[in-house]
Amino acid sequence: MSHEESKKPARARQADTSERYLTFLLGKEQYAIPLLQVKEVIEMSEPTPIPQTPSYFKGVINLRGQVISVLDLRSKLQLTKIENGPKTAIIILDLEPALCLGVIVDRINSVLAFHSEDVSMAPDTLALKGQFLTGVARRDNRMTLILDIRAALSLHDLQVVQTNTQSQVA
Amino acid sequence: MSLDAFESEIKTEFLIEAKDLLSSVEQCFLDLEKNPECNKVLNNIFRLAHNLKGSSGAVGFAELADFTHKLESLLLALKEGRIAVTKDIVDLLLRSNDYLVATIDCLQKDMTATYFNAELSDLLCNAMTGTLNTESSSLPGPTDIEVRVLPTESKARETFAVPGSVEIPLSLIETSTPVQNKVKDENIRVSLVRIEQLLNNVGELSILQAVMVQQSFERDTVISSLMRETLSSMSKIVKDTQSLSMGLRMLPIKQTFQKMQRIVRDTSQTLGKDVELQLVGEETEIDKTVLEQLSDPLVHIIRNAVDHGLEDSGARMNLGKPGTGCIRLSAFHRAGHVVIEVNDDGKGLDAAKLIQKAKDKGILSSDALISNEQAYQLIFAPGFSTKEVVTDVSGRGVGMDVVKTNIKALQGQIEIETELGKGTCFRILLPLTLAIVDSVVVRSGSERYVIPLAQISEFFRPQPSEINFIYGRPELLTLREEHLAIFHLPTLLGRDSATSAAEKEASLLTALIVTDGRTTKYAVMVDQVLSQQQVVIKPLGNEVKGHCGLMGSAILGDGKPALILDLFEITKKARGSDKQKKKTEINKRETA
Repeated sequence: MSHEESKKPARARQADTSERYLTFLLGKEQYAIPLLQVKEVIEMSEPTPIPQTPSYFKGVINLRGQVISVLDLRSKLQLTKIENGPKTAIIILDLEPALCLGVIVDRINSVLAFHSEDVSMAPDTLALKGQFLTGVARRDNRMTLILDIRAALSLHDLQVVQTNTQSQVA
Repeated sequence: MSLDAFESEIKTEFLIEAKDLLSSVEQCFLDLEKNPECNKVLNNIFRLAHNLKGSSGAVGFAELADFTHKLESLLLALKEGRIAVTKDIVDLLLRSNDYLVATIDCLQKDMTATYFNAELSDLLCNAMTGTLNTESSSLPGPTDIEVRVLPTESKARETFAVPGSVEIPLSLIETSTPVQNKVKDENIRVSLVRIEQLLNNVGELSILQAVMVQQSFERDTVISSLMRETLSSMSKIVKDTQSLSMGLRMLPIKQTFQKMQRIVRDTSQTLGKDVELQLVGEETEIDKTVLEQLSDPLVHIIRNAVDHGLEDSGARMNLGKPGTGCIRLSAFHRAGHVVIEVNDDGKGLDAAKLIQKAKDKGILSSDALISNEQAYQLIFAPGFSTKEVVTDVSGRGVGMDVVKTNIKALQGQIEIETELGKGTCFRILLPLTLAIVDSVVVRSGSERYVIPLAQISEFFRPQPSEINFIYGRPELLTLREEHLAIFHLPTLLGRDSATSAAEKEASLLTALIVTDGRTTKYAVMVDQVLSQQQVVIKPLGNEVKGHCGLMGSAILGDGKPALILDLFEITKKARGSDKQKKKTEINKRETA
């Protein structure tokens, strides 16, 4: 473990009790995901649609020669749709194992470090949504919803769909 | 037992390296058989074995180190001339080599595997004592200690028992060879993933560059002359970089060719034929992915050439040909293709005989009339073999069918040229790289798709009179008296485009004729063919890979990605009903 930490000096410098998050807006609410899952943030560019995919699957974009799938986080979470504006951005996620995806969000806010005492469990009333919320962080009277991005995108389902179609082909 | 990450890393590295070493060793053994007196070859082998022993011990594969140690002792004895290089010895060396390759394959799968061949290592020991014969293999071999003692023991004999070939004093060879012959390795091992990343970036760079150049020529762009100059020299460098980096994926065909030497040796020995293999153009470069898949089909063709192509020595003599048969394996580049030829000077293909055989087997109907060229193609038919008896080498009629399938999978072609009594030439044409496909870019509604040229035989804009309507929907296309089913790309993709009727009128509706060259043939309608070009295939993420007939994606000139469609796959469902019909038809034909 010590050997892994030496590889990530940026993280090691942080106190054990806090982690850094990228915060962004979906509609009016502020959401956050762990910064370590973010590869980069890019300007919105119109994706090339892929036929026969769910409506939140927006298509593929060209990120410096790499073709990356882009999903609309708003429609995935069934939030009211807001038209793309100049602030609309794509967060490029770098998830294990070797999964690179883009998600569309309304606006990027900032990088924040939340101490563990700032974060509380998602309230039970949010039970339904709670399955992809890992917690709620409070700072300066503002609430930030911390997302489990893998659960939010139902990546598991996506992969199941994929293996199904593949086995059909084979 | 779990391995520490670091340890497993060096072991993995070692195994990759060892595999490389072994393939060069095999070549050396074969050279050795040809000229047993050549000291250079022996020194080479010795050095390689020594390297292998050293590094396998260092990373902790004790059994491997032990075995290579024995091999090394034998090699040392050979080098010093204490043991003559005979066919048996070369056989033993080759077997040891096979064993080592197998061991390394095994270790690559499971690092903790133990894999030990006592019989072979006993044989090695026996060879050392000069008692290598068939009985000795069953006898319990001498122990390790004897092996280690031997060199010192034999040194005295050495001074007077050397047969003329070794002039240099023994002490000199021993001390100088492993050290002085060490060639400085100027190569770096780079993972394919990193090369692909580089290629991606360079590709993107050239697109950006093109955009910039285009911008500089826009009418209202004000640009200094220095800037323009810089831009133009940058273009050159980008172009250069691109061709250089494309070259990184390319490897010389040498290794694959050398494997064939072994195949020829083993096959000709089994069959008792004298065969010489000539290699031409070993330095020809070919894409790594293509290269990997080329080996199997080549093995089939070469074994076939030895078995079916070449006559045995007696028959050759009678025909006034040299007793030793000759197979020439050559590779060269021609017009954007890599060409690989397998020539033999054997009996050639007999069209009449092939046709007769095909008729006997029911592959061809008894009243079929076909040209000689078509007859040659029969050898690729599944289940076809002219051999009367099935042997280990060939005769099952599977090989050439597999060859054709493999070559097709590589987007290549195979041609046959043959002259009765003079020989046969199999010519394989392969694309330079699999990363690039010839394709057409089509428009469907507002979307663009890329379709590989290999899937379509032609495309044209049909006249209204050529489209026949059924229930008010265009369903059949008349093409040269043939009626083809029509599929509409938007419907196939489940995106019924909302284009207005007026737009439809004005559209440049084009029919792509899709065919797999055999039974299936149909038309897919697109709104327009935009261009015909080569595209670089970019893989899609796992989340969409294999999704409804997508082969990948390509980045078009404006930097936007477009999807590469596999029309066969996409139309599968739509064709479902009439495919069933066709299947029964084919079955009928096969049983007939």
